Amino acid sequence: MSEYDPNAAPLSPFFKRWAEIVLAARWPFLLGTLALTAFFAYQGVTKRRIDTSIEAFLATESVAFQQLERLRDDFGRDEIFLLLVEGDVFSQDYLKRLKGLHDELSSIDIEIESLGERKSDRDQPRTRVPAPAKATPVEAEPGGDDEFADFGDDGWGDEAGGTVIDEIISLINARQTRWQGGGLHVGGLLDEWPTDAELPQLRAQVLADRTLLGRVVAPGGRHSAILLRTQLMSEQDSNRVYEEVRRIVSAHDAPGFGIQVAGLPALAADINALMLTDLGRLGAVGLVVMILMMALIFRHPLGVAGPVLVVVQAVLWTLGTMATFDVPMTMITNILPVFVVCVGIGDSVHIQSVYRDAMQRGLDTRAAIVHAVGTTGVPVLFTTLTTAVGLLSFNFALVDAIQDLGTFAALGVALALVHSLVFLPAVLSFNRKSLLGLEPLGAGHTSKRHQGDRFDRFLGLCNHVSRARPGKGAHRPRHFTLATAGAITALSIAGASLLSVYHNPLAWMPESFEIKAAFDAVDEHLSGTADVTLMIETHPGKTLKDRDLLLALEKLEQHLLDYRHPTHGAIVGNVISVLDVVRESHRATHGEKPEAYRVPDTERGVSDMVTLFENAGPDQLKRLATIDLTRSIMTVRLLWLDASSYGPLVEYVQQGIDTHVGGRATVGPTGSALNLLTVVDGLLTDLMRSFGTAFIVITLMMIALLRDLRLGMIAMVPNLLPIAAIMGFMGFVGIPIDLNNILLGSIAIGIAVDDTIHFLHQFRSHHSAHGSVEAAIEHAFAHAGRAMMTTSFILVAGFMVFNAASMYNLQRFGLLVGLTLVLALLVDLLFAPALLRTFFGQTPSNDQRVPGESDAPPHEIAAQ
Amino acid sequence: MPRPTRLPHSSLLLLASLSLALPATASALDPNTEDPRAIAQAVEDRDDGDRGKAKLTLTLKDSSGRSRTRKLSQRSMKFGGGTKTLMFFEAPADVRNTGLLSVDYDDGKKEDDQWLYLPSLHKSTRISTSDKSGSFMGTDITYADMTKKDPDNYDYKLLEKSVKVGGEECWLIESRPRTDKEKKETGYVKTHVWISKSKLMPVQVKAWVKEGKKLKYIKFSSFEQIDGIWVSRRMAVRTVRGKKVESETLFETNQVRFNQADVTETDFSERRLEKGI
Repeated sequence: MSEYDPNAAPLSPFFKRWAEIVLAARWPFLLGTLALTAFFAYQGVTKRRIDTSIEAFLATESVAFQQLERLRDDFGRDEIFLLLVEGDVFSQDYLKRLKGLHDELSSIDIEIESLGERKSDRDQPRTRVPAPAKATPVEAEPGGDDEFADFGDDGWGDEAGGTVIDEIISLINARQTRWQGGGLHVGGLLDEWPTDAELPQLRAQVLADRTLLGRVVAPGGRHSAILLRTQLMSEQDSNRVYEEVRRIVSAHDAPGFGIQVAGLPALAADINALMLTDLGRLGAVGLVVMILMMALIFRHPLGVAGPVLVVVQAVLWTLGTMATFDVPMTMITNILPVFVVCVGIGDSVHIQSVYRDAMQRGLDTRAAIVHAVGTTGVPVLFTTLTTAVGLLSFNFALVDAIQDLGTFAALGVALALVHSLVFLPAVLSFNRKSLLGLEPLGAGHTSKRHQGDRFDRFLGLCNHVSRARPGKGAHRPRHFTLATAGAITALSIAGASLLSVYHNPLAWMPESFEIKAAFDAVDEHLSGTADVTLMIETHPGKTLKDRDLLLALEKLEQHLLDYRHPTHGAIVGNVISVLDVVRESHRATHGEKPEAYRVPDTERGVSDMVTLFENAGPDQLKRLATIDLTRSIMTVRLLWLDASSYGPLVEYVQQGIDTHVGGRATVGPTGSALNLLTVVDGLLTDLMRSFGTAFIVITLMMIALLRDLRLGMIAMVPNLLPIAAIMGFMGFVGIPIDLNNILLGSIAIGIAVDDTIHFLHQFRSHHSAHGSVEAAIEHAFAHAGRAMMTTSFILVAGFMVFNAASMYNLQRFGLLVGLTLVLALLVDLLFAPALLRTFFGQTPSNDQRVPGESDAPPHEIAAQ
Repeated sequence: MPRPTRLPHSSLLLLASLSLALPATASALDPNTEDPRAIAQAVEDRDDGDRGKAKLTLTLKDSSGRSRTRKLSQRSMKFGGGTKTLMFFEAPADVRNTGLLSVDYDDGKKEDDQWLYLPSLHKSTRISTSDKSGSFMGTDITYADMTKKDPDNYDYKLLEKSVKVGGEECWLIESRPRTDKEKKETGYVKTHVWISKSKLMPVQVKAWVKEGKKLKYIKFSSFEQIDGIWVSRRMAVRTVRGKKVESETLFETNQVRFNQADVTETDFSERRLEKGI
């Protein structure tokens, strides 16, 4: 960076003028920037929203998301807290403790602002596709312009009491449909408390009940579950409920009554907490790393403060903008702060390096600033543009969170450029004499650096690798280099073909987290924590009282229970649907005979069972069917697997629907397993779309920049190779494509291409002026090589910061991007010269001017 | 004794009985009274008619706007300890002839009786109403809304001496269950009832539902004097959760008549129930 030759680069009139304007009004610019920073920081602190829900990764256009929204419209929140309680279930002590816990949980009463809100309601202003339309305007509430307007309503007001719990199911209140006192009775299992003598009978009864076994009680009688469903609410409020659940659980947890908390809301809350921890930790570590790096390079407080404040402000403005537009932080966008810091700092480092070189040459501070901004304005603009293009390509992805990352990371990088061109010059203008780490020219010329240090020796070695040797086999080194690159490419393609996709939010968590053990325990003892929910919609004129439909659903139910996963075996625990209440009612009205547990024989019989149950347990029916009985759900409880593993099941479910239900009703699957699967389904498509777009646009930019079609195309080869290599590496070692490392390709190409630009531009400028390929390569190494290494060093160090994260996905993402950038540097230094020697002439003897090359001196772009 | 926390008794089985013998009772109560118990007592003591017949249309609507309509014919008659009501479903066809017989006892401590007749079973079944906070036939009202309660279990407060609702001069009374048992049975944290001073009938009700922190709004309208008795022929109930309407039920009655000679004691038997329309 500091090797930049100020005399080799022309001044851009625009940026020269710009620097003069900033210097003329440095105080207004400084204070204005700081005021806006304060504003964005305030926005970020007060309006920040975090979304750790599974559907944050769903595409709002996807069928799964739309289906999920319809499910919530009709049946409320689909995600449940699942508490697993270990002990001697069928003992008085256990059951009494369970009742205490059940009662306390069911009375959770905390102030919830977002009660009843769906995610799509909160995201409505920014989603491109409106939420599924409702037939009734939801805003028609008391106080609105309708017959209830007289209430002039203040809602729940400050009244104490009430619960946020929509439904709680445990052995205490598990549904029991039985004939009692001459009528159907739908009540709770322990409405009448059992005596000691009745406990064995209770055990036998419960363990024989297919609607309870695996769902509410484990087969061995050593575990039971409490299923807790809250109302719809925001993620933040759900996290508060989780805190309350944890508080209650810790008060009840005791020897012989061990409690674990699982379920998606619990997982989301834990991820949320980890994300916040990681955001703080990564931000702090990132800042420290950058301060150290800047101190190492510039060795002066101003030299550190300028670039660091530039990126800190870029981060605050970016996060503040997100908060202003109500864009949540997700597990994807949480990489933004560190990303903007380590990518965005390049611009200010670049400008500051040129500035200190100019100072070293004797210019005063103002002249040095004008020179630095004037000569580097265009190149930093261009490198920022290529990085932004790589990031903006994420807008072609289907997943909203990935789109958000692309948009706001690009904004962050652009803001870092803006601050580098506004804030940094204003800060540097306060420097009087410091050379920011350089020695005065007289002494400096004798410094070790200018005599050739280890950097120079390494660069010389890189240049030497593919250079022709005298005598026989002169081109062997170049051929060897190209052959090596070819072999690596072939191997990479082979490795990349082994790539798989993977998505499992649980796997992000550190092993020490209780939630992991809780999910495992629920999977081990009960029917699992995941689900597929089938939305069943009858055809016009039909309802769920259609006996043929119920018989078809019964076959579908059996089909689902028979499922065996190719690798995981029996993953379906139980199936709950409206069939249960029809069969239970039929059995109860037919002397409780086991054989009467079936769909009634006549259409009227079905209708009467539904009517009977509706009168005895209407609230229970509402959980399973809509009021008009045209829509119902069938919930299939499953073991928790990674998303891809649900693929065969989903196909099997669809087969079952086609075979058994056919045209009798419309059946659409949704649920957590489907949502997870939808994420991975779109991953490879997203990867190809975003990377393809970034590659094409950046190639065109390279051609335009280098003003040479051939050189532009050649420039992209060294950028493809490291990405192919890293994909191949991932394929061979079994690292799958996931939500984080899907970003790798586009991010890496956007960043890595900067080095190539500098190298090739130095080559081109020298080659077009002097015609010698070798000399031009030498020139490129001399003028861009050190800068490329420094930039890569800063970037790799920046991305290594992700290793301080608690979450595995972030750690791995940082490592992979860092590795890719190292590879990109090596490929630029080793492979690009070999390519240039091949396409522009192999030896000094046949050096020639590039056909069609103009004699115009290089402009706009200078090396770092 | 007053029972202000419940809807006017039997109102939900026979809306026509949401009425008061206005001249007699209303004049007996000072419109400026500030005693909430006295107001509630007056509402309860009103004559809500006898030997009544009516047609009832019941429309249930969910948060997505899906609806289901049932048409019923009903008749009711007072007996020594309360009121008996017989209803038959007339539509839709799949529930036609399903019958419901209920006995609503004046004694709040006594459990009401209900029998449901289902043609496919060829027998009447008793409906358990042990969970009083549960929904009545899938509607927005609960069995507790229709059940008499012990007033000693409630605290009352006159919130407004005079407030206008739809042009009606009203009292606004708050009632709160005193005991946990009562809270559990009704499912309510508290209730606000706006009572018309001129008709001594509830005009609207707002109830705080403990489970799920829901709010229930009940609006009475289409007041009409039939056979000398004030009747509200339309009752709309809306359940709101957070900021969202969760469900609505609309009760509409027509062809309301009282003192019908063909409404006799024999109409209110299981045998009659099983005979159908």
